[in-house]
Amino acid sequence: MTFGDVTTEQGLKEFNSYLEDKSYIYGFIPTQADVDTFKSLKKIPAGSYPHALRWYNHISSFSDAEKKTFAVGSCPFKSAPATIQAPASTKKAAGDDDDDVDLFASDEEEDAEAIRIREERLKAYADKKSKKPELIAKSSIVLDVKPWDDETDMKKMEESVRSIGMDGLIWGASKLVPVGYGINKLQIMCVVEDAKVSVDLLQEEIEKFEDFVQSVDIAAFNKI
Amino acid sequence: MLTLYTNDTNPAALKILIAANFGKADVNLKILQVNDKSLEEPKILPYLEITTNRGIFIPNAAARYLYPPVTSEHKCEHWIAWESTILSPLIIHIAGNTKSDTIKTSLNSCLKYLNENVKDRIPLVDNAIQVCDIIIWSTLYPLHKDSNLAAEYLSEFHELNNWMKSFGDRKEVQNALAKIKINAGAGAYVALASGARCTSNVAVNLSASNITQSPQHAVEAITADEVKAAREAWFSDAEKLPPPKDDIYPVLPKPGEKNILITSALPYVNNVPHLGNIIGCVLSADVFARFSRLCNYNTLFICGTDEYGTATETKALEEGLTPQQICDKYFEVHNSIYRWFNIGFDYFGRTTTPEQTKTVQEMFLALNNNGFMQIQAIDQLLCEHCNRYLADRFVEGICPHPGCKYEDARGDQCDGCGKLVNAVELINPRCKVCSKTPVIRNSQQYFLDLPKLEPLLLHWMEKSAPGWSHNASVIAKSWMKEGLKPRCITRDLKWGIPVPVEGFQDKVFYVWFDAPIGYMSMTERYTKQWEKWWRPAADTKVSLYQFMAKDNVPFHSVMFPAMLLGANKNYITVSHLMATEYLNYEDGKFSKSRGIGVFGNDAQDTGIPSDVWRFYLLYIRPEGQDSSFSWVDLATKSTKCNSELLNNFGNFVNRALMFAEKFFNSFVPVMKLTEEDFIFIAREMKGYMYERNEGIRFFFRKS
Amino acid sequence: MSKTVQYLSQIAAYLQVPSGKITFDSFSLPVRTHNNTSVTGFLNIILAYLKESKLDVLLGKTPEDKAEIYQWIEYADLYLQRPNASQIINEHLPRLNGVLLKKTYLASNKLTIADVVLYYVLLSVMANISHIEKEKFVNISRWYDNLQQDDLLRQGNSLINFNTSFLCIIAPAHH
Repeated sequence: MTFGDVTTEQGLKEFNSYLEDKSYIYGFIPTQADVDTFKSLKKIPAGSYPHALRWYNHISSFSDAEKKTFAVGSCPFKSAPATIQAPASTKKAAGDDDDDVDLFASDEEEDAEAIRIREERLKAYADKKSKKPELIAKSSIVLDVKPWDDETDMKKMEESVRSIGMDGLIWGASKLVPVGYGINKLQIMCVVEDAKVSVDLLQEEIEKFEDFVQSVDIAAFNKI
Repeated sequence: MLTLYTNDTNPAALKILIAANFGKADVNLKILQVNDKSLEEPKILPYLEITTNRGIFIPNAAARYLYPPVTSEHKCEHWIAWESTILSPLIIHIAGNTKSDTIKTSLNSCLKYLNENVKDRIPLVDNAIQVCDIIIWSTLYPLHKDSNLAAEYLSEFHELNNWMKSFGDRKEVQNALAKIKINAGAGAYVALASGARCTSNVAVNLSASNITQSPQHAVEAITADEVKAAREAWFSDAEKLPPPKDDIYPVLPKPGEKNILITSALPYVNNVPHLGNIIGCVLSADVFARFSRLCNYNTLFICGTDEYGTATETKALEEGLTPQQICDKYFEVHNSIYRWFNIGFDYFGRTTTPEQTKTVQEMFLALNNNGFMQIQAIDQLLCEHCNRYLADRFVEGICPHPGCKYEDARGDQCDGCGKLVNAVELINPRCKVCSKTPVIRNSQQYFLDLPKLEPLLLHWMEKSAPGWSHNASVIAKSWMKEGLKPRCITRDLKWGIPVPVEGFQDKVFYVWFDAPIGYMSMTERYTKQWEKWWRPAADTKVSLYQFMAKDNVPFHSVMFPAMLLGANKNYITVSHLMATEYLNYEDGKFSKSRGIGVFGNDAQDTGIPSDVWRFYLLYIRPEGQDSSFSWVDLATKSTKCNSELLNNFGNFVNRALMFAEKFFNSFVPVMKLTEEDFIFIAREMKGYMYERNEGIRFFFRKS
Repeated sequence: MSKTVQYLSQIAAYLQVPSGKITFDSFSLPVRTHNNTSVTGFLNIILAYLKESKLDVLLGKTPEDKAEIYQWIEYADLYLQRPNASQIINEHLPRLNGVLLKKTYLASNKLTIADVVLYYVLLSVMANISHIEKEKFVNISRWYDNLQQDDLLRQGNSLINFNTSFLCIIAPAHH
């Protein structure tokens, strides 16, 4: 489901339905998509749109500084360009030459390419939603990363492991678990999309840090 | 400006007002009815409104907010917890049920306890009035005010009485009492209960001390005791261990020992087994059976082929043999395949035996005598062209369930939505053999009265289901939620067990009635003392583990237990129902007719040893969700088989041997273990025992 | 009673503090002992964990936040620990659903320890309610789905499926 221009009654209605089972527009944490949509709303949604109202109250609780730190998120607007450009221009007008990442910068060169990409994302999103539900196959994996000895710098090891980035890989919590003889192993969780991430490849990547890593094992593997 | 909404005479509101006075906050009071329409969720009274969108509906939280603890917060919290979970629920019951002696004694213990604590200390914590005093006092106030109740409960607690009086004289309290009148005794507590809307369970039997231990947190240090235990275990002689049990025949359950009865779902004789069948049923059961024997439990593993039914009948016609000959032929196919896979059945049998006929008929008569059978006339589909009544699997049509419309729904179950179907309900039915439309004939059949058995079944399921795999209990629960209907258990067919009732002798029992009884008759073929397993004596505890793929769950979780319970002969029922999801073949389904998948002897024909197949199948056992067989996975370098067996296990063994050869002259030297070593052993054993106690589900995850 | 121990262990694991030894006093109040100090009471123990974990951001910022948090923990302690599943589904879930219509999280506008506690206490109920019920309690489903995306919170439990846009309850897995 997508929703249209939220400044219209129809769009707002769709938006309300859209938010019925979602706390945020995109994903499970606030993103710029929430900020954009928030800014485009001219007034507080009426009580007859309780989900939109809930969302509105929630987003308005964040300060502007906090809002700047949100990640970019794709915004399933139908008519995107008009609403996104406006904030970009106000930002420039305010004379902000700050060092914050200017997330709206690309909109300055709002061109055919960007529009095409957005439309594509939109279509893909709509396709995904309209098909019979297919959950992205994900797995939650706990990895045991073993060092050579008790002198290995576990902090550096953890940093190296977390530095591995792959599409569809999200690192989770970690802890040090004593194995014996003063040696600790790093137990770290991650969530991977099965289609995108090969666990074997991930293991190999970790084992490349030969200075720290003696071996990597899968301690737990759960499909989610 | 804060507003307190409350129903009349509610001591929880008093609590909040007093707290407001101590905390010097201004609170507006509004009295409402409990059913006032303007109330929004959570609709609990009293409700302290802070802003239009924010408020507190738990009185203690509101009191705390208005007058936070000044010192020793944890002691205050302790008292507050005591008041909310112990004192308050008890006192509310006094309002309702003053006849229960246990409640009276419990309340008495509470008041005694309180009395002890106010003896030298007024107030309760650190000599200054804190919110906990307010909370407890307010809850006791109606009791104290009521002369009858006070006489009954407070007469011997002088210190408590004094405390109630002196606290009540304080101006903050008097001021609050002026704002809201609180009735004495039950009236106030009824208001308290109705405002709260929820009931909390009362803690009774407070004198008994049920001390429960928490599991040690994983990262806590190993205790010295555990290290000592590890050391002792290491050095103790192997002779002290119980000897492994000899292979005896027959294996029988013994009182005082652990007895495990294992079944895997009977494969239909006509269907050539494929990898999915194997991992779903026999292989999983086999691994568990081996484990069970290693643990020295009395273990019996039974399985066999399910042979009655029209499919065999039809196949017989096709091949020009009798049904019995067909069964004999295909039974051998199953038998040899399982033998190659090294499945260690104690007995692999068949349903076409005199024992089966006898047991099925006895079961039917028992259920009939106990009133769990009905006769109804039903419509059955007759294919005039083939001149036979069509068994469910020989009719196909459009699924009748709303919203499904799957075109190839079978006469017993729809593959599209998974729901059970009655063949006569199919839309546009067609005979599977000749594709002609069958006609409907009316015929009398026996029905198992599942609705009558439902209460018994529910009660049993509640106790048994915790031991099942998660998918099994979900499936069973949804079945029960739908409500059970009587299930037809006889058919107008030829190849089957005849119904032992006058007028019904040319009908046979439906395959799902006779198949599970096969477990029992096959045990009987194994040993004449089979009833020791299936109708164990009172002093012998037997656990029944049943393995199957999830499409068999309804029959094993509802039908079969219903039959066993209804027969009322103390038959054992399943305690651990282990169901697997589906195994796909390279992301598609296995299909014999289309030649897709690994069937029968295909595995053997590859030349890959059965142990490797066993390992791989167990590795990809579809537990939480479907999994997929993949040749690439099985064979090539970067994947499971090779990396697990070669790189991990093989490598480990190899390295250990080389190490011994290089440094110890190929001998394993006598070990001198250090403290560190014992700590390591203790830690590993603790982890292992914890995991083992988690039970069979974890067992399979580990394998 | 044993569920209390389980919930506290899970909460401690989330906060990455030792759960300590948990026993029950003569009033059946949970007592946590660690490093020779004891605290008694469900809320009390959770506060102790928070203190040790230094994650007091989970206690919210203002006294109003704190009050709301205390309220939910006491609610969970009083009403959600001991009753059976059907009581929870019939009495408490509708209430919770009504509250969550207007709120993204239980207390204040961020994740707090109140959400964490209720996540664990409601886990077995949420895993077992039917799809129709998940649809009925749409706000709880939204809130719970959001919470469970956090791996630290979920601690390896499998994700509960809140996708209610397919028809049948008993369906075998999609092929």
